[in-house]
Amino acid sequence: MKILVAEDDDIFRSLIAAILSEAGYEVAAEPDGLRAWERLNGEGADLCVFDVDMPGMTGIELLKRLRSDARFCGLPVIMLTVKALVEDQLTGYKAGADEYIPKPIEAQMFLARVAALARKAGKGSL
Amino acid sequence: MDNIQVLMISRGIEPCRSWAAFLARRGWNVRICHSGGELRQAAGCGPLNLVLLDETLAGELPAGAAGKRGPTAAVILFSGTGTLPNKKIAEYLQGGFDDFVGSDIDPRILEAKLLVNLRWALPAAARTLEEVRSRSGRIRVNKSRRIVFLKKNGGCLEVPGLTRIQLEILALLVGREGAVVERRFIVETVWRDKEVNFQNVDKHVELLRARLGCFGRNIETVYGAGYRYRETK
Repeated sequence: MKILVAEDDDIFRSLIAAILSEAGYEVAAEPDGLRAWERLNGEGADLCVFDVDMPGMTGIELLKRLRSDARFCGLPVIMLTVKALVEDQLTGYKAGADEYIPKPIEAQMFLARVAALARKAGKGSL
Repeated sequence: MDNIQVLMISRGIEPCRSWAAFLARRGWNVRICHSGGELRQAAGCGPLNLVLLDETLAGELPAGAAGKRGPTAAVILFSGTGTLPNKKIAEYLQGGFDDFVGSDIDPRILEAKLLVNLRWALPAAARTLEEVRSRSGRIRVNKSRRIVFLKKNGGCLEVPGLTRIQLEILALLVGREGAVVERRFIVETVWRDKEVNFQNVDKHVELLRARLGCFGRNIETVYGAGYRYRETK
């Protein structure tokens, strides 16, 4: 199962990629929304993990682009963010997020959320 | 909406009571169960269910129900007795439960999570929740896209750009077509915890009528009470 990660913070991006790789997922990681969009168009993905705040195209903008595209509107998406206010979360859910996880993340919990979402989306196997 | 039921069960009265009040105001069909037996009975027949279950009662669900479809669309656990360690929550999620929320979750976020779970389990049902329409189908209010569609002269007009307040008021009235919706109910549902006077509601309804053109006439003022959406033939 392939997971596309978009995160502008180098350390955090490496950390997420490492957590997911060690759990057996195939990971593609990009540092901004635009590159993530291009990667998705080129290679596709089974699940996405986007940071909300990124330069150029934000995670929310990227999510909205996905949801308005027939090819990707049904793709499971997890948003990661330091913005944990209720209004911020509601913005994420209204834009079409399936999960909204505040940073910092805890590996076991993060992987459990990824697995639960993959299962719901019918993409449960690694 | 009537064919989907939110079933809740916990050891204490809260948070189910306040969640149920909020969700019912938003148009959900909610039932609070008071025992494991009642939950099992309700979950096994009748409408499709979204179950909100106190994690201390996780064993009350029929064996293997978590993670399976059927009459239960999704099972969301909540912590009824304070904070749980992440390890325990992860175990629940890995064990097949669809989601886990804290008992202090904002009810708006809870509703968003219910919709997400419903979208995966029953996409068609989720779409109907996101869109409210009049019985004739002449007006459709799409809450997620924030657009109103009007059938007029054989065509379909879009009314984009309504404010959140206008959209929620309209969805409330159209969803209760023919019934009087009191101003107090509108304030509690649309503005939730904020103090808003009734003149404010009237002002938003006036603006809404103006945006809807001739369809605005379908929003009737019921003096001394509130408003009613009723289509003229």
